[in-house]
Amino acid sequence: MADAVIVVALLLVAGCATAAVATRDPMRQALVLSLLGVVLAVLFTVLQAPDAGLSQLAVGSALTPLLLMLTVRKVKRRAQGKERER
Amino acid sequence: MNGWTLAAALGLAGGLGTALWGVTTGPLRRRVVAQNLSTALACPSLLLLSQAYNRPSYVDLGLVLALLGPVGTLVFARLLAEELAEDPPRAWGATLTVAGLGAAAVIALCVATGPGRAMAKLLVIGALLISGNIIASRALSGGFRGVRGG
Amino acid sequence: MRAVMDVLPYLVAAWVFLAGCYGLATSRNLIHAVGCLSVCQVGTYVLLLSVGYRDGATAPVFSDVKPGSRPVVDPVVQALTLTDVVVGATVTALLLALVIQVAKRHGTLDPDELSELRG
Repeated sequence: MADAVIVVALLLVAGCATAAVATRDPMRQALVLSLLGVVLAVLFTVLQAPDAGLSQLAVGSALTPLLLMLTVRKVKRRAQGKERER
Repeated sequence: MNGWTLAAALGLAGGLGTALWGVTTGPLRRRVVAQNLSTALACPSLLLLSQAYNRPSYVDLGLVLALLGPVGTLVFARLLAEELAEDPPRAWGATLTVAGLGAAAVIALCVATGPGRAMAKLLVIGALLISGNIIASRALSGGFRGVRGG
Repeated sequence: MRAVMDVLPYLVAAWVFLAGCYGLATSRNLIHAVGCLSVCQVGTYVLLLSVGYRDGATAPVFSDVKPGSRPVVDPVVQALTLTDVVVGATVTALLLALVIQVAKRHGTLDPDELSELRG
């Protein structure tokens, strides 16, 4: 029955990864990547790797989506600045 | 086989499956609420898994998620503030349901663990989880009135 | 059922990696492409941990378990996965810095429009 949890976690990871690739807008993709980070931490726990799960939680749930969103913002701000200069 | 494993599997499949559907479809307000609730649902599942595998050290994962989950949601609330201001999310029903499920899981685990340091740790995690959930949902739906203007 | 369980983690790892590659190849936005690269890395994490997993075993963490009392999963691949997670985050940060520079120089984030070599 421990197998059932593993199957659930694996299928969730596959679904989240497909959704992350299918979401074309970077801001919405950041939200899906945050969910992927949490689901991946759960998969690591189920595969008996809690230390990797701790790192994954720290990195994937807040850091990577934060970086993506800040980049989107920076690029948008620069584009808006150039529009105003013209 | 273990009742805890079954509960964790159901919580994961039902909760995170619904969160996946919510994050991928619909307007932005549904997506941020789904991301918020996914962390609030994954934390009790991790605590249940710690009991299922009979490893008290796995509870640390739930602690870290209870702390970092709201931080992630606050990041999104801050950086998506303009888009959310015109169409604020209102999902108090879902938030309170998830908070209730988290509380039920923590209480069940405390009963199973018995009094001692482990139970105190579980209660701390439960308190952090629910308060973090409420704060993050409040930040998403418009912020705190006294702190506006940042 | 046993055969499915033996093969499923590797199938999921392959699917995730291929999905990331597909997204990387068909992307119209460099920031989306960086996100797809981190999806590719998720495939490698799943593969590594599946290689080390053992049925009925537990984590090689001995703070609450006596060493030798229960079988444990392979700790070497867990160390590799941990390194992989951290390096993946660093690579993502560096690539996003490069993306900002590309947007500054060429004004566009669409890979199709960036195909000319400027002299």
